[in-house]
Amino acid sequence: MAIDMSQSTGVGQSGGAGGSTAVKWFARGNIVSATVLGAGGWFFGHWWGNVIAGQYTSVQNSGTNDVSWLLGAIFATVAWFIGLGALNHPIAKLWGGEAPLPEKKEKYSIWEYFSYSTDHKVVGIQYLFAMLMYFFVAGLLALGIRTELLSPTYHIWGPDTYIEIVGEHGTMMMMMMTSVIMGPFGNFLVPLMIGSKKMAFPRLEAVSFWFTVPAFFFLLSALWQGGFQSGWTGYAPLSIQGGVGQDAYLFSFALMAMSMLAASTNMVATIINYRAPGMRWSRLSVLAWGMITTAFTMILSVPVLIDGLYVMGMDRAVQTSMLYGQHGGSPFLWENLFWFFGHPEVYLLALPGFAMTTEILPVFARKPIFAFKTSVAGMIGVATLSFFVWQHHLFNSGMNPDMRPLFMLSTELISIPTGFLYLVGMGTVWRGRLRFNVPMLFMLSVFFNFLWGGITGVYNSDVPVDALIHGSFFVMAHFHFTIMGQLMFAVFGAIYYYTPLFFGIKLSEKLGKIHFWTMFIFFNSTFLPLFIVGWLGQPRRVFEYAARLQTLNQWVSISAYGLGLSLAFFVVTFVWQLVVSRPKSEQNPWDSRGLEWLVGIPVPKDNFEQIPVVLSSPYEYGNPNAGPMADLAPSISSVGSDA
Amino acid sequence: MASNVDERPVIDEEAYYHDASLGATWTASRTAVAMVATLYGGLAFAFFYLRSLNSNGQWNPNHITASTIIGTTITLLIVVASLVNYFGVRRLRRGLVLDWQVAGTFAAAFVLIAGGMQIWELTRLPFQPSSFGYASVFIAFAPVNAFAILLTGYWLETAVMKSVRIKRQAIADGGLGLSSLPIAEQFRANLDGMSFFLNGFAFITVVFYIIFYVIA
Repeated sequence: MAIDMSQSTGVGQSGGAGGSTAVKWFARGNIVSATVLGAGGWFFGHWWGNVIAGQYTSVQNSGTNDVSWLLGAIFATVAWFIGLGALNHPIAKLWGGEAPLPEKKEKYSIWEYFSYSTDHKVVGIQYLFAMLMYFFVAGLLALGIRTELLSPTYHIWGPDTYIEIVGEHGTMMMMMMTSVIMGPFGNFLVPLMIGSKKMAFPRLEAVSFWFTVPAFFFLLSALWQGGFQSGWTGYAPLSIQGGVGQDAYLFSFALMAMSMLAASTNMVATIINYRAPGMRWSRLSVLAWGMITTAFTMILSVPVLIDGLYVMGMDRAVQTSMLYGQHGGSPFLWENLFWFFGHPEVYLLALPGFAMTTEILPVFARKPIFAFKTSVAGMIGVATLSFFVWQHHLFNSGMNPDMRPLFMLSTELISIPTGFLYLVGMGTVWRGRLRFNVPMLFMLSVFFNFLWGGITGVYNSDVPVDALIHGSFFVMAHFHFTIMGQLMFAVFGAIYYYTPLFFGIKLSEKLGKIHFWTMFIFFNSTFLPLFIVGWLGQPRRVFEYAARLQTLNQWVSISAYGLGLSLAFFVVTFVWQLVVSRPKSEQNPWDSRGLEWLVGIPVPKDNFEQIPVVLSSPYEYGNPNAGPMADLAPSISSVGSDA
Repeated sequence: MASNVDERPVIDEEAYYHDASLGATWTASRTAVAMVATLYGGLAFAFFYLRSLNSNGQWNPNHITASTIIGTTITLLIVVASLVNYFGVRRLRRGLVLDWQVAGTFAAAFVLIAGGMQIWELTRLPFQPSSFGYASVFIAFAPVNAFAILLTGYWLETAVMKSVRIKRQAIADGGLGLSSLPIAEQFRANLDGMSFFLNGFAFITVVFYIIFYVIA
């Protein structure tokens, strides 16, 4: 078994169990033992659930048993973590021991990227590939949606399958986007940016990643279990009436929520406590500011999502009636719990995107960030206000009409700090000596795309407009511009920007520009017409539509295929350059001042030989008197003068 | 200032990261309280939202609650555990390690008994899960509460066991409560975090006692 009681056990270290090499290999925990134990856990939980609930009236002959499904998933997840070796440490603590952390290495084998690593750089790379897997699978599902919508009358999928695909696409994307910056870039870069050799809680960091793997597979499994007709928002009563696919939805989302909490706690503790001497808050990188703001937002909103999912699970499996009005519950309870998380979530997708954009813009504009403090204030303002807007999702579903103006106002207010972030970006590039490398192109496109999403967002929050366009493709186009147009473009820009640090290679500018321009054009060509389609009355989540909208829908679908091809081009060229051609990167290829680039490529195993002393801001571009950002071989005197 | 780079005195890395880890423990324990409070806050919202809606008059038509005796006992056990630990920690700070170990053991036992009672209460409910609104929310609350209580007990138990394991190492330096050895400081930081969490949790327990057994 993968629980190793010996004190020598750490992740990636040899286990204490006796026996053959194969047994030791299995005992120290890895993805194989995790999968085997996870499968065993699933079957045990499922069997036990059938023993418990098989004779319930609500279960007999229904073809569904939520108790056995959920117990199977719970046992599978616990067994998965046992198999990974993640529980060695908590179990050793029961008698006062501690499983030591494994030594970091200069270079890891491929296999170690499939193990429970506590090295923040490995975790960052694990996250990067996992989140890309989420994105591309969910993207394929989007093509399934657009294929169905090629014709208003000829159908590829039935209505049930169509709504399953829509729900799966939405949920997978939303789960992925909560972590797509904090996971890969936050984990990899934050210690480097703050001058630390490590994260505060490496095990928590590893746990946060390994939650995302079963979450992905459980969510995907919903597709062959009848899906979940409620879509990603999981509204009752659909959510309490659906089959076990709905259990897959709630369980996978809950796992992702736990991942977010683990990652956020680690991020907050690291940024507050592990900053190098001299790393004042005013010298902290914007990305780190974005991470800590996002992390606090998650800490205060994600537990409520867990509550909501738990309420749904209890109603489904234990027959409570919290979402069922006839027995004293209310479906609006879910809407409130979900959106209390869901609306901060929208901003905790946008904040890291803006932080990443603001981080990269000055490097290519060769100018300091315009109004750095305003940028930080904007992030804090957005994060704070995001807790006071959730009821605008209920304008049309039974809220007290007297409350509408309040939430309309709070929603409109949030455009002010969001505007700060936008204007900081504009001010940074204004009169800069711009270099139009691939990362810069992606970052500039963030502002173009977000303009559409942001402006439509301002008047979406007006009650009369919301009443008109609610549930239409107009809203769908709006949030795709704010999320994919902003966040995902920032992510791709960041991938091009940081591959030298992550992998020691510099991706081709030529291939990158082909990827950028095709993605940018097809993205806009896909989603701009959807504003019109929605305006003309096409509702979301319906597989048929008025014949007069066919031309527009066909245009959108063909553009979506173009977008898919562009992303496929990225995958092929990225994998080719990563595995085959490996174009070596020079040191600090973008001529950045950031501390993360001063450590050299490849990044040393401990990041810094000594604890550095930070001397100035990372954004002093164009200032001839600015010294280096940090002293990497500091003396006591420099510590004393600056820390 | 030394001119030779090799002779430069450098920052004491071990001490630097030791201080950082103490700070991280402080931060994480406060964050944990915030997370747990938010988690319970969602359940409190469910309680008050459904209570105020009183859909179809089905919030709690017969004014039935879960066993007040068990609920009171659970609450008392948690509060007493928090107090026992608090006074135990005060004695630890005066160098009386054994006192805290005894107090911590009792506190852990109280918490674990409270967790067991919370589970036991689920088997003695005077209503079915879907009987009415209160019944549903209580049945949702009880497993969460049991889980949180047991996790708190785990934290307490590991702190006690840690103190047993490392006690000898700090004896020469004044004992775990006074020693300036890193291992002792780390222990005290963990204990401080755990105590903060336990106190916060005791407060939450009292609030939810009022919600489920007094207001109902």
